[in-house]
Amino acid sequence: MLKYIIKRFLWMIPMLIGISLISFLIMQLAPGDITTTEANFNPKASEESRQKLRTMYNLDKPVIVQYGLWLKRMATLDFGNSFASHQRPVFWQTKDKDGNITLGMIQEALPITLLINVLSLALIIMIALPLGVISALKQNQLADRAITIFVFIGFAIPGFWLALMLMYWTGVQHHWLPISGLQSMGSEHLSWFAQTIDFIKHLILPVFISAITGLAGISLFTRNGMLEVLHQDYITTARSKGLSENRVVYGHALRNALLPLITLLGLSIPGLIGGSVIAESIFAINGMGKLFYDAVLMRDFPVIMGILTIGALLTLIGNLLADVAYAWADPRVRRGVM
Amino acid sequence: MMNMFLKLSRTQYDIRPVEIILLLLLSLFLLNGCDNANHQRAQIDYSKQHPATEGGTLINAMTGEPSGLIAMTAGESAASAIAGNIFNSLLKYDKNLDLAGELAEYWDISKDKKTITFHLKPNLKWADNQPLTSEDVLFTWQKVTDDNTRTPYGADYKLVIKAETPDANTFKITYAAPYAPALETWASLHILPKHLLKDQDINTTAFARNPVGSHYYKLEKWKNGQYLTLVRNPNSTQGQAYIEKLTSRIIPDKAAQFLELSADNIDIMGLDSIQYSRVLPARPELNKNIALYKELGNSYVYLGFNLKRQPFNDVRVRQAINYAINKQEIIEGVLLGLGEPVASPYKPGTRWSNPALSPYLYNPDKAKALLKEAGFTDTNGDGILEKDGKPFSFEILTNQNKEREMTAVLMQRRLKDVGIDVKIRILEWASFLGRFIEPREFDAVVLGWSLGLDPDQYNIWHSSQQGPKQFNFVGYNNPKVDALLEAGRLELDPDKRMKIYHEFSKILLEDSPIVYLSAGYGLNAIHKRVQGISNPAPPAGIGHNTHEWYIPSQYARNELSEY
Repeated sequence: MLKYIIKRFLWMIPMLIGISLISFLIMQLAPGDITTTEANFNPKASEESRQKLRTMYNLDKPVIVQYGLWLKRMATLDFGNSFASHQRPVFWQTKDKDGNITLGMIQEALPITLLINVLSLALIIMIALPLGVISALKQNQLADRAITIFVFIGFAIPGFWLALMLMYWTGVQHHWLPISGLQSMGSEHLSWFAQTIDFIKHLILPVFISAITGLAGISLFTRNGMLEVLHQDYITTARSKGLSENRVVYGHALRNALLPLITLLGLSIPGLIGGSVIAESIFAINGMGKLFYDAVLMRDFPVIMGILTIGALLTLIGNLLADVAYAWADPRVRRGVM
Repeated sequence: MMNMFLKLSRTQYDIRPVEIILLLLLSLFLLNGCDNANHQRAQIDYSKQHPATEGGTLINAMTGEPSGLIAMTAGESAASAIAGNIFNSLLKYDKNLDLAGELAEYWDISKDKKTITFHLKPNLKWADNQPLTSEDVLFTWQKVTDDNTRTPYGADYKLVIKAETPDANTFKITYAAPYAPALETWASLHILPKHLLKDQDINTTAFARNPVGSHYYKLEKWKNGQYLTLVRNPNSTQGQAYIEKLTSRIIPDKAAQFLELSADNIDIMGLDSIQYSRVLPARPELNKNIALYKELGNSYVYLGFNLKRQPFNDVRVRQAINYAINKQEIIEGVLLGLGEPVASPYKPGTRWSNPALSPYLYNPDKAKALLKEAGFTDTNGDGILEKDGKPFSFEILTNQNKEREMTAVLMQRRLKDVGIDVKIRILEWASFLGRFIEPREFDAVVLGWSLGLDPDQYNIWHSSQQGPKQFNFVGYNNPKVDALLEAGRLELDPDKRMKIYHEFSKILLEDSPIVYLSAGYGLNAIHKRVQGISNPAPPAGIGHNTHEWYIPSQYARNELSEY
């Protein structure tokens, strides 16, 4: 098992280089660079100044040379500095000679995105699993249909519309919840406890919106997995042994039905760092989705590459974790592997 | 077989009435939020005028966060908006957009018009109590012209061949040749403190996020991605503003901004034309608290021709198209009436705008006559004009901008009326510039120009500025205009300059290398608690006197805003 994991880890290195090379090339295919987006088409910005910037950022060199320079920096885990945002470090904070700390862009955007995504994933699992099980047990009955319709409405409803409606209802009409942002103005004067409450209140809508759109996938997955398992011979065996229905459903059926879900969760790990541009814009949350989107619009290459690399790494790790967890959970797979 | 299929589908997809009711209830619950107004807050009557008082907090909303507050390296509008409250320039524009001194008390221009001497006001101080002297001005000039400074704006300052500081209050610059737009450049360069920046790399310095300036306000707090708060600077070189704190919240989405405004969490936001003319007027409860302002913006939208291509090299064709387009219809339809037609590339109401000029009025008959004169007739009766057997058909390119797309569609219809077949193509901005504008691969474009405050438009209209990445991409070439633009750069007397640019605008209008379509208003909603705002807005816009705005203490919001 250990050998397998090490082997998979080593394989990641060429994979990452390949992914980053392709990302780099695709990024360069888009017309324009930072000098066309910054001060774009502004007669005050002269062509000589633009050319000077291009030279400073190495944008005048061939793409493959630029990639080489980037790779060389990455080899020392240096993600570089943003072109656009006052040369801020892309990934992690730096300290200048006077002791001033400049926070990294990903460092700043990642925690809040991660928090919202982890909370909403937890919420999704907490709601979707029971819904899926109920649906399967009451197949084609009223409860099943109601649940299916409910999760599909959640899936189909435009998130931004629902977000705005809820913001209006809970924020403007009733003043129950804040509308946007992560903290109230002036909340730093409050006690630690009140600040936490304030922060939680700000998180409710973003987490809810992100969860409601994700319910359908996992609940239908659970429902179908359960249905399949419930028709297996070993369930019939379990029932014929005289086990209680609860033991049959939760002890035997659910555990087996959950196996494919491990893969699904493993695949959702990279998704945890990718925020939704629309939700983040509406709720004025400074997260990864907005960071990436703005970087693409600005053609801020170091930031784009930084986020893509971290995303690729997490995808590979997520796959590995899913495979390992699967092997751990399912003896058949484990034996095949070892 | 058929029967079996039907049976199968019935058992699986049968929806019972109960479920339909459930669905309806759910959607009602979701929609319920829209109408059922329930105001728990005490209504304050904001309509009374109160005398000016100091204090209070003004909260506005911005769509983007500044990357830093050193405007020369930041570049984006969010940065200059905030930095403009923190840093001074030597000069400023007054409410009529005429030049006035800011740090400079006055300035002299030498006889040969090559040397400008700025005399600073006495006893200027930085917010950290250090004296602000001509050394700081010199330092800032050195930084903006330094090759290591990552700024796209250095070119104008590099024209200075000699910069001197004869004494602590005098800054003297010499140009190789008289250069009238120079004064504007000294109204936009924020003077930076030498004592804090001399050992720093201006591209990366932490000063950009922790600046020390000399204007009305200084930075109190910057919460990344959320808000910036400025507080009054007791050492301000321009006297004291009334409002104690300015907070700018970063809310990227306009709809979310509007909800925050409705919930009284922000005081100011920029509106789009639909919010201004449809949404707000329909909400009486909001109207009680929110006042609307409009001001003429600093830009115009135009239809530009590729003058190097047939048949746009014929002035009669350009004029015909100008007559065939109904600008009023575009302003009504696209901007919901919130704009003005323009006849020159200058903001109406300012000294540079020639009051004698008026836009081409919509006149399809005149358009047809001009086209006929230019040799276009409908020979095969298909409704499209031909010349030498080729139909008059061209393509309008524009970028992904709803207003410009709608404008193009309205023009397409009007041009069809006079027998011109128009196709429209919408492009992403960077590829629009790279693949069409730079190689000059277009017939006509709908674009906008933002106007500088100086009337010099050499970069846009002079025949020498037609290189691949230069701005005279329409290929305009008129020796008379070239001469005027050159003269305008050499003339430093405002009245003589005005005559030059009035003449320039007149020729430009006759030549019609572009069709001026509209100049939209900037639209703002401001809470009525803010008083002292000039309405109607002078040419410089409503923001020209924010230091005179005030919030009467009766109207100030509580320190911690509830939601």
